[in-house]
Amino acid sequence: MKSEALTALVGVSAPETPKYLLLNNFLADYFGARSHEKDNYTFSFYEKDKKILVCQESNPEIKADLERSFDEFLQCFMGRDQLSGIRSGKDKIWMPLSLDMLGSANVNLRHLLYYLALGDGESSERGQIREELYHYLYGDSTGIYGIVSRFCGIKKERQNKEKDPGGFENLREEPFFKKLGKQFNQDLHFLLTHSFFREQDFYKRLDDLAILLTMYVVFFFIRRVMPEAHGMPVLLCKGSTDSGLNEGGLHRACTSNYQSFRDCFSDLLSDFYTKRVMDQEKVLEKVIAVSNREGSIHVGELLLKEYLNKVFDANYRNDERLNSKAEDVFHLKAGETNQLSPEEFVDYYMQLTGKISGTNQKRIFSVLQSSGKEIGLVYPATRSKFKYFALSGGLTVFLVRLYLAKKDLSYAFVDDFIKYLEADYGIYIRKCSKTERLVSKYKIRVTQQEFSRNEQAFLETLDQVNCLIRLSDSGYIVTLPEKKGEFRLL
Amino acid sequence: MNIKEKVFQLIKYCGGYEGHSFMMDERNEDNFNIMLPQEKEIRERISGLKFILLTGEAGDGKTRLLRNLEDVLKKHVFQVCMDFSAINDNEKKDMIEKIQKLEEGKNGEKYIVAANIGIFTKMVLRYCPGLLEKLKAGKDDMLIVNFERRNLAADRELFQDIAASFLAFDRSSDCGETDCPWRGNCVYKKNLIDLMDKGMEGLRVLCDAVYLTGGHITFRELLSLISYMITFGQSCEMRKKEQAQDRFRYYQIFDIADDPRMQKFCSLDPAKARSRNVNGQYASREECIIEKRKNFFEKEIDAEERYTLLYADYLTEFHSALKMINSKPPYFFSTMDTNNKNLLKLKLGLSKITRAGNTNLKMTVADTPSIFDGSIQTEFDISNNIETIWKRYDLDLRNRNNGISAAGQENRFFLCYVYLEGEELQEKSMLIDYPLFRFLLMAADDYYMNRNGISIEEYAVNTFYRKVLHSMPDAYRKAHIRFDEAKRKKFMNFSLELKQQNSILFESSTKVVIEKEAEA
Repeated sequence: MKSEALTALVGVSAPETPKYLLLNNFLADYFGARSHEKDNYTFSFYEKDKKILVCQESNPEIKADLERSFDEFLQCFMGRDQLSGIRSGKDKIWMPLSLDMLGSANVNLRHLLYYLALGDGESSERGQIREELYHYLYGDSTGIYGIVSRFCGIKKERQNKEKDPGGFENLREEPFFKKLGKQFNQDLHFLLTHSFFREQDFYKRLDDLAILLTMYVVFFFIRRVMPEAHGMPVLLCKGSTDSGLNEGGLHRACTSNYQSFRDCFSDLLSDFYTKRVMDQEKVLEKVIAVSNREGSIHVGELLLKEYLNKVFDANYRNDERLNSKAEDVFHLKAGETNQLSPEEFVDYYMQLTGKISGTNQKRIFSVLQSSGKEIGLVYPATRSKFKYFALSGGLTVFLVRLYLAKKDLSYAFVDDFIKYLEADYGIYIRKCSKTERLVSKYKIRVTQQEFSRNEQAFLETLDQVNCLIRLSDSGYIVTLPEKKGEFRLL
Repeated sequence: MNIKEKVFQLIKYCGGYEGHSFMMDERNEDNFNIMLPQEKEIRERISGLKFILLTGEAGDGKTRLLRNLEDVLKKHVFQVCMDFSAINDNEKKDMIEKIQKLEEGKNGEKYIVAANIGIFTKMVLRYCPGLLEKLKAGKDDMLIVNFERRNLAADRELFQDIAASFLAFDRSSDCGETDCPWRGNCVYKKNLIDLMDKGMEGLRVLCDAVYLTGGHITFRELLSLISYMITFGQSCEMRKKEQAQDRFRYYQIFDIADDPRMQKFCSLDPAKARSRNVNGQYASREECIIEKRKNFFEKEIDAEERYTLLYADYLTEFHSALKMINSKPPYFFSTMDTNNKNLLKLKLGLSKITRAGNTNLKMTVADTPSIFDGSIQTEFDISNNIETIWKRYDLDLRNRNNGISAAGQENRFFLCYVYLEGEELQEKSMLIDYPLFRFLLMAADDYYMNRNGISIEEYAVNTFYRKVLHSMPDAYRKAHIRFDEAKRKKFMNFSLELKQQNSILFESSTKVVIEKEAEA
């Protein structure tokens, strides 16, 4: 099936990992990107052509070693290991160490984050985000970046992109999209402007921006498949990734919670397909005749391939393979005909797409899995079917930083932080009316002790990433690792 | 009070005893009371105060202090909040706002509030976040009494006063229990007399060690500990049925396991400490345990040596470093010319952590971007001439001339980098508490450090030096690029240094000079 129609429905067409590719594509919506096919980031290029690098080593062997070592170092710094094998279109992607290194890319999230950030905003909003992005990434050059930026920012020119990438017309009207967009815009603004983020080294800044972007892909997906009919979707989350929590009622509830988003996604797809079928004039009587005649499966008077390509904008070519799978799925022997309702037909169709190739359903659903895995929110990292949400140390420290930046405080009470995670992101780790309702819906019994253990695990995660100060039996403070040493009691 | 009455009184302070709840100050009918320095300070300063905050854990003596001060508070028209935790959220918010106004001089009333530190901090952070810093800064008409920072064992005389008053009984009186099998050999009496006559300093050092290692002992916990040492939570009737008395000697207190509040003492058990056997071979394990414990309490040694008998590495060194920083004006000392051997060793530990394997004292600080994933380190030099100091925990450098003069009791101190930004003195600090001190001294002694992942202590040290680097304008001009063991065979360590060329001749261009680095 062509991706356009489905992508327009869901907003995403395929997973976009690693997070740095997402970052590249987000930046490419604001700034001009270019091809890197002919780029030459090497020792000899900088020494002989650009005359930036000075090497006064007289021993040719040592110089050769230096050359290899420098090239290795620079390649690593430009993200060779993290981005290996990733090409977007024809271009190789590097870390955007300067805007001149921003790679052009076939954007496959269809500018989701661009529109999410823009919300109802005017073009001035776009300009503001662009300015903030630029100063956030390139406004400070401490650390090794200060030296390396001499090599990667040769042109030092900035090419703004004004062209509207287009798309998302329908989704932008959805209330959930507007609400999430507003939140994303706020978070992005705090991240780009607050000193808690800006005073970090270049790669921490890059990483944190990539985490925020990827996190919103996850949130977008969740709210897309589970609209807020009954409030924000609840992510029942483990307080740590420790395997000690992988048993008991809470573990089962967490895996059921993750699975519920998968189920909702199937429902969403099914509704989409059904509507497409219903829109066809020939099914006014709401019955679809599927038959096996003349060696092929037919829908009404059309061959199955023709019908699917027409109704679902699909792109099936191989009759033979499609027919053999369809015979199995529709349970039709030669000469038989079956009268199906549109819902039944869609059900069979979804089974059929599953048998033919990696289904769209699987591919799109993996957005949640792969993006969640990238930022340390979806576990286990293995191929296990039973996934769940859990807060890793890296994501936790990011969330603490964002929370404190939004509050403009160096310290906050841990309870307030947990409430913020619940209210703003729907991330729940402890017992409350919402999680109670959720687990009873799954018909799983989770004891108070299990919830307490989960909360305790979260405190341990905070402690491990150096964000926790214990006041006394009744009090915990969250802070940033770099601020912890400065905290003084009353 | 005879011994039987004394035991009956003491046993109520043991957590395992059924009548334990009567030791809660709200219900306590004992007349035991002693004026602590906090009460004395409030009485002396009350006429100039508008706000008093008593904060600490349950059992710290907040209620007791309020009760003792009842008359004087009434006289100076203080409104009393007996328990901040007990009032509802709206009232808490109201109270915080009143304190805020009072701090700003917009409220003429006077308040004294007793609060748990956690709940009070939570409410301040929630409703008036800026107030916390203002309260910390301190004002003449506002007094914060934080019992969590109080070390009851810091003052030897006061500590002995508390213990002696609490244990006081009539040594010559008879209990009248003629049918007691232990009559004439009463272990309660032996414990009381031996603890008071021989073991008091050991008890103080034990409590001090809990504080030094980061714990806090409430007044109630201290009384509970003393009561356990005498009675082990057993009444006369229970004791009569016991076959042996030796395991109930006061120095065997480390065996008490049924009361979780005793855990903080038990973890320091001298029996687990590595120390030399003064009397040659022990006949049995039990004998070894008893002797080590008894030695700790009763051996005549100087105070410093007693700390070494406890099961806590480098405690003596920590105690000695704190003593210098807390009690010797001006309470801050240059790391360059302090000759305290423990602080010198601490400095060595710091240099080993910042640059693994490097034994000289030149600071080379790793500030490596996460992208290298440990396979390449990028390091920067910190000049030996930067001004770093050891600083007392509660010393404000900017107001050091109007600051504290009395000796402090803190169980932590700071390592600070100080520099001028314009006219203003700036500092970057790292808090050094017992766990970090111990970690750094272990590094100085070349103990094996787990290199799988970074520990919290290493993280703290790295964070501090990165902050220092950030405030040094030229620190990042030269970088040392080092490859890990696996990559070193293929690649060569090198340095990159920025060199500015003359602006008239070369149009202000910057070159990067690459050079081979010597192996570390």
